[in-house]
This record gives sequence, structure tokens and C-alpha cells, in this order.
Amino acid sequence: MKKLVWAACLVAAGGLTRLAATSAAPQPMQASPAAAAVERTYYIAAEETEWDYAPLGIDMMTGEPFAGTSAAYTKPGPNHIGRLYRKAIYREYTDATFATRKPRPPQDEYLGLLGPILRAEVGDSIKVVFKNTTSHPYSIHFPDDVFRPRHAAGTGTTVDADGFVTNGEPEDTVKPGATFTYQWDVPALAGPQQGDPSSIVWVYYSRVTESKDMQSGLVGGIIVTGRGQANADGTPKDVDREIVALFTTFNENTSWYFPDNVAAHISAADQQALNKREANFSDAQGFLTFAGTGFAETNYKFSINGYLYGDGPVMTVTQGQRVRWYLLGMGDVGALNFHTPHWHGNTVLSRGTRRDTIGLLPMGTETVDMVPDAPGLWMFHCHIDDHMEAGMMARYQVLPAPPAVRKQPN
Amino acid sequence: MKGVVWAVFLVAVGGLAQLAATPAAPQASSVSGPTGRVRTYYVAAEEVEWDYAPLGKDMTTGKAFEGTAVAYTQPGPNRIGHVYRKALYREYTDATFSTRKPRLPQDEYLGLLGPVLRGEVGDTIKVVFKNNASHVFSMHPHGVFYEKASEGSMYADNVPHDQKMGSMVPPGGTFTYEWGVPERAGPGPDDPSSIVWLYHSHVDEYKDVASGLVGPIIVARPGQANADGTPTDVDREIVALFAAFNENQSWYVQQNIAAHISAADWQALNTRDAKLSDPHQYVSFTGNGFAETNFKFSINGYLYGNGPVMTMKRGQRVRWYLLDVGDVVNFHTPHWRGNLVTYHHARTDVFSMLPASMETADMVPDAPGEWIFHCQVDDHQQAGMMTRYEVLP
Repeated sequence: MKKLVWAACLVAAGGLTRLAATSAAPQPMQASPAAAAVERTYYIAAEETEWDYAPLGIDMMTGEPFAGTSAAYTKPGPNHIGRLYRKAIYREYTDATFATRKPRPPQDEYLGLLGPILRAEVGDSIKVVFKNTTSHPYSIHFPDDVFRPRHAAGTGTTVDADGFVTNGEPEDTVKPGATFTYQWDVPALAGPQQGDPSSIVWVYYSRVTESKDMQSGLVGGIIVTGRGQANADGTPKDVDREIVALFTTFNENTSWYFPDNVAAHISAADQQALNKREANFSDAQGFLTFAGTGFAETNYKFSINGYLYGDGPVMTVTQGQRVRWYLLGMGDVGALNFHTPHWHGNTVLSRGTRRDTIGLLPMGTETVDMVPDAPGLWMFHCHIDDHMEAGMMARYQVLPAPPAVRKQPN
Repeated sequence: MKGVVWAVFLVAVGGLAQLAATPAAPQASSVSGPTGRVRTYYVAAEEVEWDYAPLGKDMTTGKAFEGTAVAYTQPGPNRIGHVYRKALYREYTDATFSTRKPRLPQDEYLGLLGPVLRGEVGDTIKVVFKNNASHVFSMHPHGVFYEKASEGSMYADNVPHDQKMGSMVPPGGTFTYEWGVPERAGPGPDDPSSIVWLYHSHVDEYKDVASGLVGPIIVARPGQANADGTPTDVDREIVALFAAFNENQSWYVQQNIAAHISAADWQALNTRDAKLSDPHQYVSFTGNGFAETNFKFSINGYLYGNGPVMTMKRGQRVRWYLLDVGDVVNFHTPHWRGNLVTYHHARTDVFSMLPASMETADMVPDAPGEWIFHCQVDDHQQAGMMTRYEVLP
């Protein structure tokens, strides 16, 4: 009878399975000594690139060439930059020589503009050898209210007895061409709390000039798994597939590379005529929407992982898999950065509640779980209608589960 | 000891109090197979002249419209006023679509919302949809299970068009959607016994929704629904859609201009006339330019308390389903005067909503009277996002 009670509790409590498991069978997780802390080292360069927000060249949501509003957001013209922008992004290398870019596995290509995913289990330490190969001073900033820096703190910084930065910039600015080694311990505070799944996500970004650095493209995700709940590579044990999606409107008007992008894509003659603040809050009919065709609006890139109009690689999952989605929100309010990621076809559980749409505000993160049951190529988009119109749409595919391997009766 | 276990369980699981009470009859909690029940609805999209302010005065002040409220409700040389042609979902009694299913008096407050579709986990919801409007429309549901044919959304998904006829139903056309209600479409472990999803047209989502095509689906946990699909542990349900319909984006904007603004005035009108101002001449998100006054900051399609009053009784178990939809101005904070709700183990009297937010909260009203229920975003309130609910003694 007691077993039955616990079985019911497990099914019912969902997010509380850990609690249930530790009470019912105390030995496996808590009785074993904590795993030895692992130091996880990453080699990350900030580098400048010509980022293509629409590399497939057509609107993948309609399957047609860009037209109307989508043309304004993706095609260059006398008063539009188009789809190519110089940006700075974080990229991972295999070692301290920074000679070999670490290849992204094909199933992770959808990450697009995002920097490498950094991982830790609570108790670990994340070490980042950071090389700034760009022309501007940048940094790597972790949320300093939860991660504990071990590296020399920045100029004018004070650190409390627990190692938390209490005042000043938590890291040094890394000048162009320079290398700096950051190291953060990952305390329990940075890991999943009661009600969270076995892993959660944080944002790292460059914060020398906070808004401009991030608008230039320097952003990535940190996944922290609860103690005892990670595989050797840091991925959570109870998940088959993880997807990270950054919903942000990059405000290219405030990027460090804005003058370069104007110069590269708009002729000198057109630049003379260009009103850089031109804001036509309009659509094809000439009526008010918050997406628009003026120069300033078309530099708002309403993107998912840096792609517009479904032009990123498809996020693939398999029917019946335990899929964990990490959602990141970033950006400034001038570019209208509140977003509502919505999945067609399948639903998720978020803190024990069923949803198919999640609200995100700048610097907000959400971790939700899906067990997809509906196969097909589905839309995954911001449900704010004018953001959709401006391109904030991606595609995810649920591949059919392989036919069950049936044992022959003997 | 066992008592302690259950106490912990009850505290932790909260919303599942009912399930927790069932261990004596363990089979009750294992209901997961399909009920086999099919709930069929007949829904038409139809064009109507919608009145955002049918009572003709500001019901929150009891006086004639004045100031900003005039700009949002009264026609004039550069304003359409309170009547707009819109497309709405409406329910019929059968496949002949000859008899509109009447709305009960206590449900009249639903206003422009489409019919409430219901399912208990294990059911199938079947919607016979007839497009009696003049544009191509669809029904795209949130939450429930569908195959591509019944997704109701047109985009490049490698599915031949003839296998997704539900994504674009032409004027005069009919399509039957089949939506499954598996466990993942129903309440999660920490949800109450029923939750709400949106459905809306998704051919051109922005324009279709701005035109008015939106409604609710309510899904109850297995074993917690009455025969009609309503949750067993609730006495009264209220659905409230907070949406600033952007009439500038409606399919009917040209018709609305033609119907309400004279040709001479139209010549003089600057359609981009955006005066983001208030009576003090300071910038706010509402305003009295042509474009802003076409943002209808409404609850169930009504402004300034002009909808039928939402009624309930003191001590009833009242469940509120809150919805939000639209473009970027649609961040809303529904706030009840007079009574509190409980939401995921916490008490509150205000919610934060973004477009496509769908939230469920419970209230046991103890304060009788007629109360304001409004968006607490100040300029939205100024633009009319207020309604009334009454707690009868």
C-alpha cells in the first residue's frame, strides 16, 4: 500500500520526483558522497563575422521569396541594410592555441549566433580561457549574484567572504588581441531549486558596454545541472535531447558595428539621403504596427538564435524523447524585447503547469520539458503578432519514433 | 507516519488535493485511456458590426464619455468610433448552420469571444467549421493534439496543400477539425482541475486575430469533469480576453473607414497620424491620433465597462480563465477590485499577461458588490480596458 502511495505521488508530483525518490530510496543519491568537483575548461574567442540573419535567402515559413515586410527586414536597399550585418560572436576552440574551431555537431547547428553552451554540475567549476580577437574591448560576464568568481576581480571590485562580487565590475575588460582566464565556481545557488527540473539555464554575455556588446552579438548559455544529476559531459541524465533558443530583437542601431554596416551596404549617395532615425511604423497598407519599414525598424532583428523567417537549421527532436527546452530572453526595451515563444504541435510542462506558450522578458530564462507526441515539421515562434511579421519564427521537427523493437515470443 | 507522508504530499502537491483523496480507490488516479467521447461543435466565422461600447456611456464613471474616452468611442472626422466590422466565431446547433446556438444570459459577458469549446482528457473535440466570411480563415487550436490536416495554420511544412485543407478555409467553405485531448493537453500536476487554451484563425495570424477571430478551449483533468465538460469542483467559470485589437491591421479597416469617415474627411486624414498624448499633453501609449484610436483596449471586446456584468455569488468556487492575444502593446495586468484569487499556491489580485498568455486562477468571493475588473497598466485603463463583475450576496 505504501508503495502504491508513493507511485501515485511520483506520477502526481512531477517536479517533485527528486524529493519523492530520496525519501523512498535514500541510498542512491544522497547517501553517496558528492561527486568530486570537476573543473570544466572552455576556450572561447570573441570574433567578428558577417552574420547572415536569413542564410536560406527565402522566407522558409511561406516557402516563397521575401515580400512586403519581410523584404524590408532582409533585403538590402537604399534605406535598408538587409540580412548581413557585421557582428561579434563567441566561438569555441579546442585548446589554448585557438588554432582549431571546435566543430558544432550537426544536430546543434540550430544554435546559430549563440556562443558555445557552457555546462556544469553544481559543485563544479567553469574555467573559460577567453581570447578577444576583435577590434573592441569585450568580456565574458556570468550572473554575479550566483556564480562565484575565482579569477582576479575587476578594477575597483570588492568581494565578500564567500567570494561574491559586492561592488564594481566583476571582471576585467579584455582588450583586442588579449587573453584572460576566467573561472567561476558553481554553488548550489546557481543550480536547480525546488520546483525546477534537473537542469536550468543562465545567460553569459559581454558587459564592457552592456547594451552595445550584447546588441553586437556576444551572448551564450550556461546550463547547470543539479548535483548527482549530470552525465560526465554535464548533460542531465534524465533528458534525451536539449534545445537552447534565444529570443531577442537585436537592435542593430546600437551595435558597435552599426557605422560599418551602413558603410558596407548602403551606397555613399544613398547615405546622403538616409535618415538614420527614420521610423515608419507601418506595413504594406501604411497603417500602424510596431514592425515597420523605416530604416531604424528594419535594424531591429526579431530573431531566434540570430535567424529570421525560419531561416535557421531545423531543431530536431524525436517522438517520445524527453526533450528539454531552454529559453533565453535578452535585449533592450527600445527593441521591444518581450517575447512569447509558442510551439505548434506539442505542449510543455513548466513548473508543473501545462503550456504551449512561455512569456520571456529581457534576461529572463525558462527551462521547460516536452515529450513530443505529434510528429511533423512545426512552427516555433513568438506569438506577438508584429514580432512574427518581422520574422521571429523558427522550425522544429518531431521525427517519428523508430518502430519498437519487438522481441519474438519464445 | 503515513499521516505525515500524506501531509507533506498535500502541502507539496496543492492543486491535486482531490487526487490525493483517492488512494482508497487507486483505480481512479490511473484514468488515462481515452474516454471515447467525441464532443462536436458547429462554428461559423461570420462578419458582424461589432459595437465596442453598446451602452453608449462610460459605465465605470456612469457619465457620458469624455476626454480620451471620446477619442476611443465617438466617430468623427478622424476617428471610426465604437462600431467596427469584424469577423467572429459563432456557434450553431447543427451542420445546417441555420440556427445560432443561443448564449445563456449568464454567459453574455463573453462578448466577441468565440464559443467555449470543452474537453476532458481522453476526449476528442470535433469542430465543423464553416467560413461565412469574405476572407480565407481557419481555426488553429493551442494545447490539443492535431495532425497536420487539423492544425489550422498555413506555412511551409512539406505537407501537400490537399492534405492540410484546414489551414485555409475559403469563403463559403467547410472543414471539420479533429483535435485530440491527451493528457498533455490537460492540466499539469500543479494546475487546477481545468485549464484554458486559445484558438484563433492562423492564415494571416496578425490580421485574422486583429479582425476578431479568437476563442477559448477549456480542458478538464480526467475524472474531474461533469458530463458537459465543466470541472466538477467549480461552481462558476468566467473567461476574460484582454486584447487591444489593432483595427489598423484588421481585414476590414478599409470598409470601416469607408463606413464611418466621409470621403472629404478621408482626404484630409493622415492615416499615420499618431498623437501619443493624453489630456495633459504628455506622451503615453494611448493617444487621440487616428492610428491609436484604432487600438481597442478591450476585455471580451468591450470598452469602459460596456460589456454585460460578469456575475457570481458570494462563497461560490469561481474559476477565472484569463487570455491575452495580439501585438506588442498587449502586455496587460488584469486586476480585480474587491476579491482575491489563488494561483499556484499563492494569493494575488493582479496577473501579468503577454500575448498568448493563458492563465487559470480560482476565487471564492467574500465581498459582495459590483466591482471593477481592469488592466492595471494605466494608459490601457485610460483607453477603456475595464469591465465589471458583480458578487451577488
